[in-house]
Amino acid sequence: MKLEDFQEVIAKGESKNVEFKTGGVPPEVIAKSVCAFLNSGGGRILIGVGDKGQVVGVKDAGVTTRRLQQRLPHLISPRALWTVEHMQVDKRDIVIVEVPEGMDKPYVAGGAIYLRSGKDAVPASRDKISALIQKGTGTSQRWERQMAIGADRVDLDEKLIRETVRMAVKSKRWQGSSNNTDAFLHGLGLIANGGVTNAALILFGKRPSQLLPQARIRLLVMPKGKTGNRYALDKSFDSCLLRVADEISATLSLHAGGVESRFSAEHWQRDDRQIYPMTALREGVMNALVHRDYSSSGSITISILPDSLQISNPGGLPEGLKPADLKRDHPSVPRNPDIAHVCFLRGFIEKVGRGTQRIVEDCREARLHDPKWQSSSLETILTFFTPASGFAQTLVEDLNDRQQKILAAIQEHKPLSANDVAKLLGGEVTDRTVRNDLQTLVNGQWLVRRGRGRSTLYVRPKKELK
Amino acid sequence: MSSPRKLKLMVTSTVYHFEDQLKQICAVLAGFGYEVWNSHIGTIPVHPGRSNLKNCIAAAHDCDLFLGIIRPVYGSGKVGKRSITHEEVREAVRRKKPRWFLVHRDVMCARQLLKPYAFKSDGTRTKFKLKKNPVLDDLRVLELYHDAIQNNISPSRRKGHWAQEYSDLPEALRYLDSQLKDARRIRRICQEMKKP
Repeated sequence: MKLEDFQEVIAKGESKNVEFKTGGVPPEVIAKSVCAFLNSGGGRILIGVGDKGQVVGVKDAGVTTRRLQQRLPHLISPRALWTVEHMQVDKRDIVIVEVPEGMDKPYVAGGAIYLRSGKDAVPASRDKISALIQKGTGTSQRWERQMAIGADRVDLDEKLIRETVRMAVKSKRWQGSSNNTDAFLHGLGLIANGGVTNAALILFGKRPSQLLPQARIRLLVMPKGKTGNRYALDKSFDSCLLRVADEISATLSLHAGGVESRFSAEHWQRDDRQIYPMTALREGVMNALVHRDYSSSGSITISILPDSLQISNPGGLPEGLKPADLKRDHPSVPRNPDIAHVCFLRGFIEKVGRGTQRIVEDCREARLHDPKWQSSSLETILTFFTPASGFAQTLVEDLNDRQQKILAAIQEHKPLSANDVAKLLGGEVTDRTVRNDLQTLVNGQWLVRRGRGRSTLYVRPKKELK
Repeated sequence: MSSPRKLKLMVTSTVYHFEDQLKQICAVLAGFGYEVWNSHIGTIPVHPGRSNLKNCIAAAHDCDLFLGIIRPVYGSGKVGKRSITHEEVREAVRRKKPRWFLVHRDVMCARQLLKPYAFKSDGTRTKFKLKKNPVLDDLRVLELYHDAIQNNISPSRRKGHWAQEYSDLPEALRYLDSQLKDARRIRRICQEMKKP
């Protein structure tokens, strides 16, 4: 969680989705709150914060974090995905337990079912339990839990499963024997009744696309754009999710826009950098793989275009989530929690609900325009832009003194015309310089032009200075 | 007026690869207001002077009502010929306990498929042997099911032999919700069935 998000959460106080706990609370008590969030739409527990939002901190936050990571899976049934992290606020350590809504209700802690009631976790009444059961049985079994027709345990890559269990045990995200792959798969609901689930085949299948064609991923390089008449590359990936993520990363690093070279007046040495940050691309691909709608027969398509890179996946955003929400702190609503859980155990996901924010941060750090999400009920498209796309964004420190002065003036006062700017700069600059400075600021999205001809005004767009 | 004591509901099932679901079932029943007895969650009253089998059979004898979950896994706690789960079900039937059964779909399917090979017309077993397979681990699961539904007596004379098929936990919970949520109704049934 980012500091500003944390402060906003603290300011709003405890609620149905937020609970404060002071340090030293035993894992058994935290387990009840986690259980209640799993049963009641998700939420987060901030440990080291008093009832009134005062940041009191936690002693030995690292120990508390590890203890919760190890104990909570034993205290809550069935297994579910949540993450524990710690951060520093005013030199005080805070531990945050992030809990998405569970998909296998009712969840149980200490032999009882807990729900959120206002800002508290309370044991569920008979009627509430009944409502939870009826709600759960009203929906059809989710796609990832359905048995993969025609698939057997032998269709899964045993070596990959063993490797995943070993990594999960080593990272202490899974408590169990490294050798017991059966218990691992059963514990996560990936095998049942003598068969393997769709999720198991997607994650560990030797060739999942043979039985589930939608598991195939297509990568297109289109040097002339979507209207061009040729592909420079048209490649399909048929491996299971846990292998394909690496394969796509390797291919993207070869084809995704190459390298951009920059010189600057201050630094004569050439500054070479990959146009798209690979961490952001990888996160974008992982998001598509984990959150796509697998019940749709469509495939994930990655298109590398002259001025952008698009990752499109079947399925819209979860209900209640809008594209704009993805750039800020938002609740995690995994469509495929079994797949997400294994990706977490494997280390592909670090914190739930943070992936899209990291994509934005990585792009900003790489001086790219913010990526854009578009979503309909059928698909979600994530677009990364190259600097050549006209969305190039310079950092404020890269602007010259005149440009910074213009920005400061426009931010403080009303919109300015080119004449106003010339006056502002003291009349020692030519009209051409003024026009060039304004054009640079418009190109960098620091300013927006309004009006035409002599009545043109320059205003600040609705975004913050970095 | 003090509230009446909770009814003692014994839940019997094999545990292997059913640990989480069993905890969920027991928590739901506890939330409905029962005192749940189950060996996996450690709530069976234990007499230290008795064997595990005797303690479990005593619980089936002492409970007010009984829930049997018949899964395609026979159970590892075999003592002599039958597993502990199997003996608990037989005891509940023998004692005419108010009882409810959930039977996994695979058990029902395996029974239909194997009945002509594994059972004679009088219900006794043939020499048919089941090879290792991922669906049913032991033919005695079918004997357990037969004991639950009292397959050895004519259908017209059977009582308490309702066995509800389920394929996943939500289906099982829906059955328990419809049958056992109303603890007052169940108390009346228990009192009625206690009468000679």
